[in-house]
Amino acid sequence: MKHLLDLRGVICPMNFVKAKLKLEEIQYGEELEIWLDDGEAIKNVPRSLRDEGHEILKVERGVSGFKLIIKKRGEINGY
Amino acid sequence: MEEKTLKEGGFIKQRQAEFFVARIKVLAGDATSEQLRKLAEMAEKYGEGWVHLSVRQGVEIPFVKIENFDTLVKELEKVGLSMGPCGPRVRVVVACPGSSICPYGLGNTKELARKIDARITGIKGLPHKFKVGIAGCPNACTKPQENDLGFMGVVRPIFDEVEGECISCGLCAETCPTGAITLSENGRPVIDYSKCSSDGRCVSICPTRAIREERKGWRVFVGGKFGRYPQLGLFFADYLTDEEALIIAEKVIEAYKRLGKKKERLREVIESTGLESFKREVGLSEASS
Repeated sequence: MKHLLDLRGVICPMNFVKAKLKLEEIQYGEELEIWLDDGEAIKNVPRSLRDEGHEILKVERGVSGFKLIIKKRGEINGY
Repeated sequence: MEEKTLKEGGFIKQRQAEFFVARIKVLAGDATSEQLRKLAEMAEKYGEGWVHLSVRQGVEIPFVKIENFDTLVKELEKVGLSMGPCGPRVRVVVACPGSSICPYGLGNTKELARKIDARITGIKGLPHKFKVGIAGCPNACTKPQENDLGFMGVVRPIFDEVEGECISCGLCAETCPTGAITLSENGRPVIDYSKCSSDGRCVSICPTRAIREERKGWRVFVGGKFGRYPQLGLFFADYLTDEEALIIAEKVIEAYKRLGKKKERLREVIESTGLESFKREVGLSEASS
């Protein structure tokens, strides 16, 4: 199942908080696609997700902002 | 009491002959709420009910009468505050919040400020005033280059891919404020160190940690000053640890005392000896910078 979260227009740090909540809903090892604005959002959100232990698989510039693919990582089952 | 003795103790003569400004040291600009309450109480009791915030992050209480000096000092001591230095002395170490609070901070400025203060404050026999400023990163908010001795937190980035971590997202190149990073044909970052400002933004943004810190520490500037003839501090050494920074501080002051004539700031001493020979006086070999 593909998970998608559009965080364009959501300001820092709410975009990160929303990404975190979304990641809580999905399984370890699953992927989440996030759309982010250019500027503060792209500078902060990927880093914060990285620091939470998740894996950033892809960052792509889109027509408006960026597309991120994140793999949910955690302590369970070695993911 | 002589004017000189007063200044040593942090009391500065005002235009109004019977009044003095009480200069209180607030190291790195951090005061507890208890200290602030005491300062407010003192300003009401012995001043005119207001304070002035100084450029070296201290608090000054104007309109204090000489007969209240002793009580004021004793009251301030109760909350861990002391008088700030004036005249030819090591002045209060100024520091930004650094890595303890600021998202850009690379160095622990507060800790270095405390260590340097403990090591060099109160050294006697200086030719003139001696200012130390610490900034946590190259944003240089506390302007370390304006001080006789300045420290700035820096990071040397390295692209160090072990097993294909780099996802060629290009965020490092986008985020670098000095344009020091370009992407090669295979989408990997190439760092031009001659343009790198050592602010560590690429390290912090890299989503896969393919760019990491190769070195981290304090960049040192010497001979900065303001006043009538402003001069920016000269680059002196790079990537020092706290302990090395303390040694440099002590040795620079020793050399300043040894070589400086009365009323000469460190910049004038360096200009007459030359930067390279001043480095030798401090015991810095070419290799360590």
